[in-house]
Amino acid sequence: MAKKRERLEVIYDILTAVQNSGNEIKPTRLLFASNLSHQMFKEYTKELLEKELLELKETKKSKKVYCLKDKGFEFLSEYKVIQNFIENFGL
Amino acid sequence: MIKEFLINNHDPVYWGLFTILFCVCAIIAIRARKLYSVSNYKGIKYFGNAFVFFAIAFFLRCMLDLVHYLEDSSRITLRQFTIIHPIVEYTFIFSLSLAGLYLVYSLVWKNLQGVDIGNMNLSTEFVLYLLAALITLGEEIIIPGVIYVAMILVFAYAIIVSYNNYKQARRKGKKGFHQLYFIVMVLGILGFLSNFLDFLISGFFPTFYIYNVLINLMIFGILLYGVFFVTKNG
Repeated sequence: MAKKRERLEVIYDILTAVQNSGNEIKPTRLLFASNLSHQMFKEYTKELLEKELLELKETKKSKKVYCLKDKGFEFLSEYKVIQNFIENFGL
Repeated sequence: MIKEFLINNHDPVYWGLFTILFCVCAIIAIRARKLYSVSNYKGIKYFGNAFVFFAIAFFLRCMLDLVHYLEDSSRITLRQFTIIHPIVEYTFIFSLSLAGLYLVYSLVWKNLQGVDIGNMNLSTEFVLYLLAALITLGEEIIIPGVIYVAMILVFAYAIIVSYNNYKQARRKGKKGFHQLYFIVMVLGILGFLSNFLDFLISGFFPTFYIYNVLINLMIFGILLYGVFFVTKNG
């Protein structure tokens, strides 16, 4: 059975999925890529939008897509450091 | 020769020590805060808070020692300081207590969900502030020396938790800072034990304070190394 992901790991997976899609991904694709239930996906994306790691933009074709904001990029670049910090200090 | 210098210059040595400790704690607090601003991970927040309060405590201790040194060497009394001295001392004890409590809380926060008193649920952070206030009141009003006993108990618990973390990491074959962090907790309790002994039997070991200086430098030196070791490149 797959190990339950920690909160930070889930956020990393979501943001990585956005980044790997050229920083533009439709909500449905992100839902599948994140491997979360619909309810959990809604909760996580709401949090990420509120904390300005993600933003929801409208493309020229009037489609809504998720994009990374500066804080989102910063999270991805610092993720390993954050994980190391938590693990080594037992936080 | 170094030993004689240290014995004859007790106040400036302590002032220098607390200045260094203030700088180290400020650096650790800033780094932890930066990581928290990106991750919003509560454990990092509480760890950072511990070093904010350590920095405040050491800063206040610097100021107290500096004034004592100036008064002793120049034979003047800073009258304004006589009024605010007790406030600075209470704040120092409060900050030091809260720092120790936050450090332990950063290790166990996942298992604590607040305290229920009757129909009220008090957040655990509020309880930490309350405990620190009680320790300060106890130290100043009831029995001097309470701060040492409280911190010895806090660090005794921290030793158990950090040792369990170290054992778990070893079982998983992980190499990291876990062993050194456990050693830091052991040094912490030794530091407070030795301070307590010095408080109980004043002057029982004239050069004791030198070992106290060394223990403090080791504790925060290891912590600073740890923070930069684990945050260099991920």
